[in-house]
Formats: sequence, structure tokens, C-alpha cells
Amino acid sequence: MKIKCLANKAGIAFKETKLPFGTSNDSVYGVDIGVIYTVVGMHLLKGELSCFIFNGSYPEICPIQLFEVVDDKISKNWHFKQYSIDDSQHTEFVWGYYEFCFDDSHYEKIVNYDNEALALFLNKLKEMEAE
Amino acid sequence: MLDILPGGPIKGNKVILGSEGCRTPPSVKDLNFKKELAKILKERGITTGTVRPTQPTGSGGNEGGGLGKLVKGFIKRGGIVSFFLSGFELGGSEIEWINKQNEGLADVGKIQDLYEEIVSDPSLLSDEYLKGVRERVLNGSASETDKYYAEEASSRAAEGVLRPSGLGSTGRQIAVNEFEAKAMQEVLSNPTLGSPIKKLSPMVDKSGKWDGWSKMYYNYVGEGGKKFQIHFNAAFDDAGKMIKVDDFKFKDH
Repeated sequence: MKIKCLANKAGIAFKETKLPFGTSNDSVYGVDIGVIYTVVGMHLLKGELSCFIFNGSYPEICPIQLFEVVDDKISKNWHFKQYSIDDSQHTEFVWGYYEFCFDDSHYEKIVNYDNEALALFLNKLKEMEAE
Repeated sequence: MLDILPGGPIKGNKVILGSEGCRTPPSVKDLNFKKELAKILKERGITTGTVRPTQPTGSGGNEGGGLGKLVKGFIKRGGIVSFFLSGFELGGSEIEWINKQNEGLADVGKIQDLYEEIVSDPSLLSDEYLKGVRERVLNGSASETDKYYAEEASSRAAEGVLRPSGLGSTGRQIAVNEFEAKAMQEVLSNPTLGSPIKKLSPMVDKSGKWDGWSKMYYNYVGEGGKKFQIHFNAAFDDAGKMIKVDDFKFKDH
């Protein structure tokens, strides 16, 4: 699945709709307008759908509203997991490569620039780009 | 309040309506200020147009009504108050023209009062306008009117900024180059530039300092055009409004 960036500011992408929780009109994402990104995973929570991509420097999960889909085929290696969020009635849905869905610590390690987790991520990205 | 005389002398496309002592007040020729003033007028239900019953069609004089000038806008510059003339409007009978004129003049008075109120009390200006003033001052494109309100813009910006709670630090806070210094300054002066790191559950912190807070990131372009991030913690209220921030740090690759 590939998506093309149309906006990188929340105020523009969500001009007439509700902003994602914790986001302001000023919030800026690390994606560049016009660039096409390969989606390695997706995440849905409280009605907010986001795409997991590599922005050229680091992995980032961005709202789908920043993009348009230019290739709608999803990877044959994607998995799906549904999580119940503790202490709330919300459910989280995750699609993507195995570790993104089933290894609870994988994404947190990526966020903290853990080399092993980043290497795994880049490897999965390469595989999906080659599909 | 000035003595505004309808149908005063016409200079170019303006009707000069009055004058007062010289000063250099904000100018409504400044488009941003003009928009702001119009917005406040609208909020207060004041229309920005009035009608000058001049040149009625017909055989002359004011009899028969007809075509008149629609006077819009307002300028106060160097003590001169004047109004742009724009468009035409069918005025109807003389009495209708007079009524319109009186209504318009009443609004002119309100406009004048509001203008003077804003000049003496800039707290009436919106955050959005003052944010624009601040941006123009910072990027060197400020007009004289922007400069007039620069101090208010700066103090308004400082009022709303969340300061780090100072509960602790878990990473590098010292900038090692000008890109990092600028980025840290940007996000500290407006933490809402950041976004929550998705998919991470609210923080469970052993120290208890940031329990229930969210991890945030702020992107910036560093040396060589490469992208970097600053991470920080933020607490939100139920409506998603950021209420606390802390632990700003550079993330090293």
C-alpha cells in the first residue's frame, strides 16, 4: 500500500473535521507534501486511523487524513490484531508486519531508536517496497 | 468622537469626513488589521457600510431618490477619517436615503469608537491576529501597524505558553548546533506544535512523575536537511487540550 502526502500540518489536513486527540492546528508531522510513502502498518483507535511509514529519517505513525492512497494493495505479510485497552471501553486495531501487531514492546523500542527494532523495521519496509 | 460630516469634500476616491490631532495610529490600510477590525465589528453586529446620498438620478436635487454611492470602509490615518467609496446602490426615495444615511452614520460612530477602543486596549485583538503579528515581526515582514502591536503580541504569546513542569529530565536537553537550538526554542514556545506518538499507551511511569501523560514528538530539519525529533511528555484534559508539558529532550539517532 502506498500513500501520497497531501498535507503535513494538522490544521490543514483536518480543516473542517475534529482534530485527533492531543493534536492542535499547529501540529506538524515529519512527512513531505508530494512524497509517496510505503505503508508498513495501520492503527485504529477511537475512530482515528493512522498509517505507519518511514519518513526518510525515522518511522512515524501519521493520520490517514494527511495522505491519499495511490496504491491500494496491502502486503501479503500483514497481520491483524485487536487489543482491548485496559480501564476503558476502547479497542485498538492494528494491521501490519508481525512484530508491529504482536510484540507489545516493538513500537516503543522504535520510538526510542533501539537499533535492533529499527533494523527489523527497515527490513520489513524493504520487503514491502519490493512486493 | 469626531464630528463626521456626510458628503464632505471628496479627495480621490475618498470622502474626507473629519480630522483630529496628528498621531501615528494603526492603519486600516494594513490589510491584516483591517480584517481584524472587520471581524470584531461583525461580532458586535456593526456593519461597515454607510450610504452617501449623492447624485440621485432624476432631474436634480434630492428629489426622486435613485442612484447613490455606497460608502464602505474606514481609515484613520494622521488624524484624518475617511471612507472609501465603492459601488452604487439604488436609494429609493429621499427619505429612504436619509434613513440609510443616518443608520450608516450611527455605524460610523460605532466603528470610530471601536477603533479608538482597540488602539487604547489591544487586549480586544484576537489571538489569531496577534499570532500573525508575531510571525511577521519574527520573519521581518512586519508593517508599522504590526510593530505597533508587537509588544501585545509578544506578551499574549507568553501568557498562553505552557512551561515545563520541571518534574525531571530523561534525555539530552542541551542543543549542540543552531538547528537544535532553534527547534527547541520553537517547541518550548509552542508545545502544541508537537503531536502525540501514536499507538503508545498513556505513560506508566515507575517514578509516578508522568503517570497518565502522553509521549509527544516534534519534528525539525537539522544539519544537512536531515530530519530529527524532540520528544517531550504532555498531559491533556478530557477534551484533548494540552494542560502540562515536561521532559523536553533531543532524540539522538
